[in-house]
Parts: sequence; structure tokens; C-alpha cells
Amino acid sequence: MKDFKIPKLSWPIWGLTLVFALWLKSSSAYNIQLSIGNLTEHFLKYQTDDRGTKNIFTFLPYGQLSIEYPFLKQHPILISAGSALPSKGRDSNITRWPYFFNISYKFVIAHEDTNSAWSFLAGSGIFVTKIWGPGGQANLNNGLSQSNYNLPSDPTYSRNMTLHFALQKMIHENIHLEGQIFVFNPIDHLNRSFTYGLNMTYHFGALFNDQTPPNNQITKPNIKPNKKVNPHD
Amino acid sequence: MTKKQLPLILLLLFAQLFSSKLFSFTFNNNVTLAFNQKNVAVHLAQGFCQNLNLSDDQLMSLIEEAIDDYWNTVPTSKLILVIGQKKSLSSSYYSDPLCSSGTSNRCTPNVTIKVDNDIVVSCNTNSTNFPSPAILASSMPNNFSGNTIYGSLVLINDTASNGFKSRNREQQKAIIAHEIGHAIGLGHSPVKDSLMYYSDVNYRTRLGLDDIDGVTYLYPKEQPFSCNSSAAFFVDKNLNQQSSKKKIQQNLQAVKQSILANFFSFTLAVVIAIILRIVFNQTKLRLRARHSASY
Repeated sequence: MKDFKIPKLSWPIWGLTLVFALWLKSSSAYNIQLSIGNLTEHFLKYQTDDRGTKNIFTFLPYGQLSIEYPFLKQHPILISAGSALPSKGRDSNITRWPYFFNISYKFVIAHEDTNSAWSFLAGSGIFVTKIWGPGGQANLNNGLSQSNYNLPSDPTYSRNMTLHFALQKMIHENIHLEGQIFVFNPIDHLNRSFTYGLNMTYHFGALFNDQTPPNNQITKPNIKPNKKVNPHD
Repeated sequence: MTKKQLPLILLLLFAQLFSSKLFSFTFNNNVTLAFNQKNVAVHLAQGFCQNLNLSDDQLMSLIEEAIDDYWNTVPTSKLILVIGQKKSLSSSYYSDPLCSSGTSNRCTPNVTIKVDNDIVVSCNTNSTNFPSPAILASSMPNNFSGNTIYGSLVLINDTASNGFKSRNREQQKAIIAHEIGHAIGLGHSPVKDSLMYYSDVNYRTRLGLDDIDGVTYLYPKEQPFSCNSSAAFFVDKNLNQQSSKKKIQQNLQAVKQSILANFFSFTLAVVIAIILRIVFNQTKLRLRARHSASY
């Protein structure tokens, strides 16, 4: 029996969205951003010792590359791809690699001091966890004596659709701090889960645009200060 | 970045150095096995448990909590365990050994207590299964072919001096969850924070990261839809037209669901964002009005 698989539809959908975004604003795509930070997966979802301590923070460095498109005036779309480092735990045989793709809608929360503007992002994406190992067996206690247990071999990919929210705070002309959250299974109370990331992001500015706008044109809109109005005028 | 913000960043980096990560899990002996279906029921062999100080209904409730508090909480796994029924089974399930021959390393399942499908939990008093009261339970997939599990059996020690009855409810729940872990294909983990550690620990309320990774490996989540099962087109010359049509209908259904899932999640996010924006704008306008009024 031959097994024909449907192409993974999720990739074309996100790919088309990307092409659509590029096509809309291909001449003015700007604000390339690179983030470095730490990801804590499945916050409070598992215990980290035999006393019942739940996971609050775990060390998982990650990087994220984002492109910001002025899809609507002052409300750009941010397309991001991020990846944690493939890492081994205490068992060096097993490797685990989380990575993700997001498309988010960005709201610049206006602030008179543009160097400290806040932004809020909301969108969705796909979070992938790849797990693999070299195969073979491990000799472990079975309760009575020792037994050989199988280790993972071929890679498997777990794909989760996630909701994505983030809050950004400009701390410098080209740098912002960001806290982001990925919501897994939002409508299932049993396996709903939150993965959060804290990162620092550098804005490289325009890469494709001849008329290079200032780096912070999108994230820091030019807002006029409140004008004092004389009611008698 | 201001001087005030620098200590905060340094503190964050420092905290990262002292956090830990852990994942090490294994699968059942000899071969990596998993159920092929997404929903697996856990049934109870009724009327057997005499020395646990628990009625069948209490055991069913314990099993339900064990699957909901542990295995159904994994966000990256597609496996859904559901509580089954009380089943009337032959007394062999109460008295027979789990293995007909072999050692703990290589066990040949006893065919007289083979489980046809899903998972069955039964009490058992066989001295080969439970040579000591300290052995609280024993389990294994006992009906499998290739890499696919069709049925698994979980046996709880029901001998007069069993150690199960002296455990508190949370511990009993964790023991049943551990055995169900074996039933779905997981082996032991060498770390104490994992539910699949060979011994029970003082305080357990959740899975460990090893358990999450193990069940994710065996049953990876396939969102927005599965590429390997329901959404795969199987083209076989021997398949009759009717089953092909059924398969195609299932596939189309899966495609529709995937498009809806994509559309739903993005729309939901945008709607939430727009609502927040409106709320923010309203708040801003009010603040401005208050600010203007103060002049």
C-alpha cells in the first residue's frame, strides 16, 4: 500500500500570508528585529523535584528574527521565526529542540516620550517540539531488579497551534525589552499551557527600502504633545 | 538602556545560570510501542478488588482523576485518555501471572489475560506478579503487533498484605497514573521528579518534564491536523470504492478543520487585540479629557 500524504496545509497557509504581506508592502518592508532571550516552557505545568515544586523558570536560551510590515497605518504585522537551542538534559542521549513561527498584529501604545513607547502584540502561530535520540537501550531499576528500556531514535515533531501575545517596551532608540506568551490549547482546560519568553530585541531598521525610514518610525509614532487649549478661544 | 535597568537584566542572566533542565525518558522493554488511536479508554475489571479498601466506584473515580490530573494534561501530546466502563472479566485476570514465561527483561505476555483493546485495570493476587507487598502494581501492553499497542493490562496488588492500601489518595492516584504510563508505552525514568521513576515519592501531583517529553515523543500533537492518520490519502488497488470514498470524506473533513483552526486562531487574536485597542483608546480619551479639564 502506498501512502500519499497531503502536504502539510499549515505551511502553505502561513507561507501565503507571508507572501501576501510582502506583496502588499514589498517596497517598504522595514524594521528587521533580532531578539535574544530565555524561554520557559509550560509554566507551572510539571514538577521539578520529588517535593512537588512546580516549574516557574527554566533555562532555555532562544533567538527570534522578526520582520515588521506596515500592514495598516500604525498597526503593523510582525512575522517572527524563533528557535531555542537544541539541548540535551541529564540523559545526554535525548535531544529536544523547540522552535516556532508567529504572525502577530502590533499595537503601538502611544507615549509622548517615544523612546519609552510600549507596544502590544497579538497573533497566532505554530510551536514545534522536535525530540530525537540515538536509539539503543538504558539499563534501569524496574522495582525488583534491573531492566533494559528502549531509548528514542527517529525524530518526532509535535506541532501546536498557539495564540501569541507580547508586550514590548522601548528602552533605547533601537532596543526594546519584550515579554511574550504562547498559549497552547486555549479552549481545553486540562492541557491548556503557557510558555513565556523574556527577550531583548535590537531593531536593525530598513533592509529592503530605498527610502530608509528612521528605525523607530513604526514602533515610535510621532505623537504631538497635548496642546493646551484656552476655552475662551 | 538606563543604569537603573542594568541590574534587572544582570539578575535575569544570573537566574538563568542556576535553573535546571531535565529530560530523560524511556519506553517499554524490547520495542517502542504506542496506541494507534487518539482516544484510549481505561476500563476496570469489576468485582475483583477485595483488599484495597476501595469499592469499584471509588476505584473508577481514582482512575478518572489519575488520567485527568496526569496524562490528559500534556499540551504537546494528542493522546486523550477517557474513563471506560466496569467490565465483567474472567477470574484469570485476578489470579494469573502477567507473563507466561520469561524474565523481567523479556516477558512473553500471558494470552489468557490478553486485553482486546484499550486499557484494563484489574486487581490481582498472583505471587509471580507480586512477590512482595512493596510491589504495588504491575502493567504492560499485552496485545501488540509491530509498533502498535491494541490492549494493555494494569494489575494492582490485591494480596492481603499489599502496600497499595496504606498509601494516601494522592499517592494511590500517582501509582495508577504511573502504571497507565507503562500501559501507553512508557518505560522508567532515572530521575525522581518524573512520574515514571521506578518508585513512588513523598509528594507527587504532576508529571515531570521527562514524562511530558516521553508521551510527546510517542503521541506528538498534530495541529492543525494529522498528516499521518486521518489526513492521509491511502491509495490501494485492493481497496474497494466505498472505503476509498469514506477515506476521502474523512480527509476533506480534516482539511476543513485545519482551515477553520487557522482562521479561528488568527481571527481570535486580532479580535482580542482590537478590543484591547478600543479599551485603550477609551481610557486614553478619558485621561486626556480629565487632563484638559484640569487646565
